[in-house]
Amino acid sequence: MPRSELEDGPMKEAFDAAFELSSLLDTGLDRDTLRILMKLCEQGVNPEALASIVKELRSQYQPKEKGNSSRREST
Amino acid sequence: MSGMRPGSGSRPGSRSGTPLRAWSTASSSRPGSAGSLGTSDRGTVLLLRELVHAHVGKTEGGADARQSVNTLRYAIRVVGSKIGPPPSLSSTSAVSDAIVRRLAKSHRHEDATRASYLIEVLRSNDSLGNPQLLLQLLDALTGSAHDDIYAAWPTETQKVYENYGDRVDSREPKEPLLDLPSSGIPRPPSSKPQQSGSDHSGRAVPTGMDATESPTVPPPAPSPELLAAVVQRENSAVPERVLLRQALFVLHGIDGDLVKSDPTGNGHPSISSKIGRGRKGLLIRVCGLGAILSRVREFSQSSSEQDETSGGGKGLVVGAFKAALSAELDKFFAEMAAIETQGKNDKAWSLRRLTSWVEESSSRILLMNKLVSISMKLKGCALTSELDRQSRRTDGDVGRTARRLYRQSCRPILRMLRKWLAEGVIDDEYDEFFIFADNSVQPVRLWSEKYKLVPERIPSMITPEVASAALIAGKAVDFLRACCDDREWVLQRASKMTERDFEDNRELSNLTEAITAASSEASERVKKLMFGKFRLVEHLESLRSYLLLMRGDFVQVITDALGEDLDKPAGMILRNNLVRVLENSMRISPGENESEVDHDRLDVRLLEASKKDTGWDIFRLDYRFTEAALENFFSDRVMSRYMRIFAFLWKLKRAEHYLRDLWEVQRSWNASLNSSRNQLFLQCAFLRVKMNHFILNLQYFLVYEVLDSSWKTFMEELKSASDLQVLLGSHANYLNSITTRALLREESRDQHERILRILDTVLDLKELQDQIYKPGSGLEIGMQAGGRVDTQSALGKLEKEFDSSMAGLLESLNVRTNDDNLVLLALRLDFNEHYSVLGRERFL
Amino acid sequence: MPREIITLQVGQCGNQIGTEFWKQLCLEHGIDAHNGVLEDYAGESVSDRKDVFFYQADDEHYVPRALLIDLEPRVINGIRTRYKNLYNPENIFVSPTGGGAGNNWASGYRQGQDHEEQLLDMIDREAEGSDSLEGFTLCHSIAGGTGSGLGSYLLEMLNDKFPRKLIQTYSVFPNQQDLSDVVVEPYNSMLTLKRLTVNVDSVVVLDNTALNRIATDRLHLENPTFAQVNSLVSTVMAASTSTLRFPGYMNNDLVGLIASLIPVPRCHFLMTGYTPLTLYEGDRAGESQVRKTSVLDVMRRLLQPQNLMVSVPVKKGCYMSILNVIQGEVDPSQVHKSLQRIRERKLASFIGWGPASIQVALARRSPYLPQSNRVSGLMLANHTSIYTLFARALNQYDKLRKRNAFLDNYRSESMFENGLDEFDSSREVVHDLMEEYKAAEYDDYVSRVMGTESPNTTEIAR
Repeated sequence: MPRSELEDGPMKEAFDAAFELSSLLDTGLDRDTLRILMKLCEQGVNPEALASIVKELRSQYQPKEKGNSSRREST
Repeated sequence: MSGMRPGSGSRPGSRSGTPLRAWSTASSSRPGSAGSLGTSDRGTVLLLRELVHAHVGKTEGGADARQSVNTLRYAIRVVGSKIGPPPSLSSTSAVSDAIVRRLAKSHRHEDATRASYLIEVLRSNDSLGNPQLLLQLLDALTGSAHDDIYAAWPTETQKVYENYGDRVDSREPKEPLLDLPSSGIPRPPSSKPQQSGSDHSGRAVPTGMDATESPTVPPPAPSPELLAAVVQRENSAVPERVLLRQALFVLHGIDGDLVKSDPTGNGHPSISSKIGRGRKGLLIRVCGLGAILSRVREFSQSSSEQDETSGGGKGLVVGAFKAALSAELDKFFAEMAAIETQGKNDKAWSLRRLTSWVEESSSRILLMNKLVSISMKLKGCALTSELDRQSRRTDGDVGRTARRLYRQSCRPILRMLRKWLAEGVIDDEYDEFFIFADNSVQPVRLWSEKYKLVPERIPSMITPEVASAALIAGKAVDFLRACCDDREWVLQRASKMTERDFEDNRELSNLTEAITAASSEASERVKKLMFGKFRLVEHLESLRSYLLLMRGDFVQVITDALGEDLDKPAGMILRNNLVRVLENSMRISPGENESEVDHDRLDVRLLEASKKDTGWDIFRLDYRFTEAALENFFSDRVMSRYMRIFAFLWKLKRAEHYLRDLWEVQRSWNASLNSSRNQLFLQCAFLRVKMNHFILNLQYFLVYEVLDSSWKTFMEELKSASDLQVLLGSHANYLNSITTRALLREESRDQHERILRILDTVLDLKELQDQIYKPGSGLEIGMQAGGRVDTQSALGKLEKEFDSSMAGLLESLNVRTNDDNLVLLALRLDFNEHYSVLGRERFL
Repeated sequence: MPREIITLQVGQCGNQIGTEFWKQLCLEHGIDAHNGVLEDYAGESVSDRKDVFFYQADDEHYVPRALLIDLEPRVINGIRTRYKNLYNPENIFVSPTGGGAGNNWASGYRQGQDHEEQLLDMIDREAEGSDSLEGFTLCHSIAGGTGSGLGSYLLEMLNDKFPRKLIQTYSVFPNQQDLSDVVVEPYNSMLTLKRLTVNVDSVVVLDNTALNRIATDRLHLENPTFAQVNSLVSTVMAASTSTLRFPGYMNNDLVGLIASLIPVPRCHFLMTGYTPLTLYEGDRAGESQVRKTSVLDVMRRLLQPQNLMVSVPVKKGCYMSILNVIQGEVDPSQVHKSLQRIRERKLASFIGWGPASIQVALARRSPYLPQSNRVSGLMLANHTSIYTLFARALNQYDKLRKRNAFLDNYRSESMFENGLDEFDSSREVVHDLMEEYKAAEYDDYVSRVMGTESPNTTEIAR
C-alpha cells in the first residue's frame, strides 16, 4: 500500500495514536504489523482472531530472533 | 510464548471466562468453516498474507515456503471461523475502560491518562471506521510483547483454582498448531487477567446470575455440541438431576449419599466412584465451596456476646458483621434457589450451570471466609479498619460485597461516635471504641486524664488528626457538663445531633466533616465559658501579677510587711500571722481596680522547713481555684510550675529587699560627714552597688526578656487558640518559655547555682553591715578596734566571693554565645565591661 | 498600701513648678484639675496608683498630697483662683507678713524657724494621713530667698523629724548665662547646696540655662514664659514618677529608683533628659519637634546634650548610672537591640570602678493623655560632669565672697550674727562634693576613697 495514504492527515493521526497506544500496552507490534492489522480491523475481521494469529506467528517465527530469545531465557 | 491452542474451548469451565463465548453463538451457525472465505474477503486474505510475510521475512535465513503457506492457511481458517460482524456487546467504552483500568491498576497512572487520551483520539478519528475493533485487538495483545504472560494472572485466582484440585494447567501443553480443533479460539489468560470474575467492564465476561448487569450478554452457555460431547464421553451412570441435587445439598452444608463434603474430617470430600471423572472434578469444587459456606454460616450464627477473653470474635462490631454476613448468605442462597428452579426446567446442563455459577461466586465466598478469619482475631474499631482494608483490595462484585459488610460492621462504632460527640459519653461495653474512658478520674482532672485515644484502634474511616478532633469534641462535651455546669447547652445540642443521625450516614467521608464540626462547636462553647464565665484571662493575669510577682507594688508591700517575720527561723513562723498580714496588705494595697474575688484566692503556703531555713525559704504565695473547670486548666502540675518560678523570683525579691535595707542604712551615713569617709562604710557601699546592679539587671532581664515577652507570645496564642487543648498547650509553652529563659532548667543548672550563690552574698553583706551599724540603735558596733579588723577582712572576703561568682556566671553565659538569651543577660550584667576588665587585669 | 509621697512646693519657683506638676498628674489620672473630681471618662480599667500622690477626701474628690508654702502671697493667690477646689486649703501656708524673703537665704531660713510650729503641724498632719509614707519631694529654686532659705530650713527639719523618710528635691539652678538681677544668687546657692548635699537623698537638678536653651532651641519659643519653662519641668517630674503611679514589676517606689541611681550616697545629684519634647500649654498638647520615635532613637537622643535639662559637658566624664523610663508602645526586644547598639557605638561612657549600665524601665502611659509620639523617654542619670555646676557655683561664690560683697543682709539674720562660719562650712561641703564627683571619673576611685579614710568616726551633730 502507498505509504502516503497513512502518513498524511487524519489517517496518520489515527495511526500515530494507535501506535503509541500499542506501545503503552506493550503489545510488541511494530509499525508495519500494526498498519496491516489496522487495515484488517477496518475490514471487520474479528480482533480476537487476529490477536491469536499474531501470537501464533510470533511463536512460529520469532524464536529464531536473537533479541527475543535472550529475553525469553531470562523469564 | 505459549503454545497456542485455539481449540481449547473444549474445556470452557476451566477457563472460567470462556472468553469467546460471545461469539460462539454467532460462529455456531457456520461450524468448522475453515478456509471458506468469500470473494469479498479477498482483501482480507491479501492482508493476512502480508501479515504472515511480515513475520516470515523477519526470520533469519527465511522460513521455508511450506511453513509460511501453512501459517497463512491457519490464519485464514482462524479468521474464517469467526468471520462476520462482531456482536455489539462490547462498547468501545467498555474496552477502553478495561485498558485504562489495567494500566491504572499496575500504578501506571500517567500511562493510563495518556491511553485514555489516545483512545479518544482513535474514537473520534473519522478515518477509522471501526476503532473499537482496533482497540479490542490492542487490548487482546496487551503485554504480549513479553514472554511472561502469566504474570498478570492474579495469584489469588490461581489459588482459588488450586483449592478445587481440578485446576487445568493454565499453560496449556504445546501442541502442533495445525492439528488443533477449530471449534474456538480462546485467548491466553494473559490477555484477560480479569477473567476471575472481577472484571465488570462488560466485555465478554461470563456473569452467571449477574447477567442483569450487562443485559446484552446471553446466559453463559457452553455450546450444546460441546456439552453433548462431554456427556457422551463420560458415559454417565448417575443422572444429571441427581448430581445437581447432591451438589445443592453440599452447598447447603448437607451431605448426600454420593457426595460428602468432608466425611473424614480431614478436609477432603468424598465423591462416589459412580460419578464420572469430568463431573467428579466439578463436584469436588462444589464440595470445597460448600465447606467454606458452612463455616461462614456457622460463624454468622454464633453468638457474639460470649465472654471470651481472647478479644476477637466478640463485641458489637463483630455482631454487626455477623448480621451483615447472614444477609449476604441469604442473598447467596436465594441465588442458588433460583438456579435450582432453573435447573428443573433445563435438565441438560444444570450441573454445569451450577458449577459455572459457583465459579462466579467463589471469590465472594472466599472473601467472606477470609473476613470471617479476620473477625475471629480482631474486634471493634480494629476490625472495621481491617474490613475496610480488605474491601479496598477487591473491586467489582466482590468489592461491593466487602464494602457492604464493612459498612454494616461500622454501625456500632458510628453509634458510639454519635453518642460521644453529642453527649460526651462512651458506651463501650466491649472495649471497641478508639477512645478509652477512665471513669474513676475526678472531674477536676477530667480534661487531662479521663479520656485517652487508643492509637491502634483508630478506625481507618478517619485519620489520626480527625480522631484527635473527635477526642476533643466529646471531651469538651463531658467537660461542659461535668465541670462547667452547662448541662442545658449539652442537652440542647445533643437533641439536635440525634436528628442528624450519624449511623445512616452512608458516605463515611462526611464523617470527618461531622466530627470537625462537632469538635469546633463544643470547643467554641468551652472557650466561651472559659473566657467568659470563668474569666480565664483575668486569672492568668492574677497569677502573673501575684505568683510571678509582676505586681511589684504589691510584692513590695508584703515584703515590707512580712519582712521582719520572714527573717525569723522557719520553725518560728506561724502561718496565721502571715495570712493576717497578707490580708491586711491586701485590704490596704492596690486593690483599687481589682475584684475582690482574686484576693480571696490568694493564700499563703508554708513549705516544710529544714534546719537552716528562714521564713523566706518556706514562704510561698498560692492562688486557689475552686471551679472544676479552672482546676482542670490549672492542674497541680501546672501550679507547681508556677511555684517553681515563684520560688526563684521570690529569692530575688528577698535580695532586693535586703539591698533596700542596706541602702537605707547607708543613706543615713551621708548625713554624718565623717562616717562617709569610713572605710568600712565605703566597703559596704561599694559592695552594695555591685550587688544592686546585679539584682537589678537580672530582674530587668527577667521582666522584659522573659516574663513580658513570654506573656506577649502567650496572649497572641490565646487569641487564636481553637480549643481547650490548644489553650493548655499555649499555657504550657508559656511556662516552658519562662522556665527555660529564666535559667531554671536542668541544662542551666550551672548558671542557676551561680546566681543563687550571688544572692547568698547579699544575705551575708546584710549580716555584716548589721554588725557595723544597727539602724535605730545609733551605735556603731564593730567600729571598735578589735572587731573592726575582723569585719574588714570579712568584707574583703565577701567581695572576693562575689567577684568570683560573678566572673564565673559571666563566663558561663558568654560560653554559650549562640544563645541570644544568655548573651543578652551577659550584656546587661556587664554593660560597662567592668567585670571583663577586672577579669583581664586578674589574668595579666 | 501605697508608698505615699508628700510634695512641698516652696517659694515662687517651687509653686509654679508644682502647680504645673499637679496639672499634669491630674491629666494623667483623669482628674479634673479644678476640683479634683474624677472625670467621667476615667474608668476602672486602668490600674494606676493615684494614692501615691493624691488622697480621697470624704466626698471622694482627689486631693493632692501637696503643701504650698510661700512667704509672699502673689503666686499662691493665683493658684488659689485657678485651681479653687483642688488643693486642701489647710495645706497652704503664706507668711502672714507677706513680705517674702527678699532674695535673702538667711531671711527665708529664719522665717522657717519663725513658723516652725505651723509648718511642722502641716507636715505632720499630711504625714499622718498616709498609710506608708515613703518620703518627701521638695520643689524650689536654689538661688532666691524663699525656695532656697525656707527650703533649706524645711530640708533640715524633715531630715531631723523624719529620719527614715526619703527626701528628694527638684531643684532649679540659676541661669548662668544671663546676668541675674539677684546679685546674691551665689551666696544663696552655696548655702542651699550644702543642704542638698547633706540633707537630701536625691536631687534632680534642673538648670535654668538648659531649660531656656531647650525652650528656644528645641521648642522654638523666642521668649519662653515661666509657665512654658515650668511645663518642661512638670513633664520631667511626671515622667520620673510614672513608674510609681503606673506600677510594674520594678521601680515601684522612690527608694528603688534612687538606690539604683546613686552608688555612693553623697553623689546624688541627678540630671534629666527628655525626648521628644512636647509643650503643654493649657490642656492642649503642643507640637512635637521629633517625628520619628523608635526606642533606639529615643535612647540615643537622651544621651545627647541638647536634650538634657542641665548644661554640663556630658561628653567629658562618665556616667555612674542611667535609668531610662520609656513610655509608649515598646516591644521589649527593641530595648535589647538598642542597648547593644549603644554599647557597640560607645555612645555613653561609664565609670570603670564598678558595674554600671543603662537601666530601661518600660512604663505604662496614661490612657487619658493624647500622645503624639509613639515612644517617649525620660533619662535620669548620675554623671560626673555635674561637678561643673558646683565648680561654677563655687567660682561665683568665691568672686563675691572675696570682696565680702552684699553680706550685710545676711549678717542681720540670727544665723550669721556671730560670724560667717556657715558660709565657709557650706563652701567646704560643696567643694568636697565637687572633688568626690571629679574623683569618681577615675578607675581608681574606690582605692582612692578608701585611702583617705578619716580617723574620726564619731558622728557630728547637725
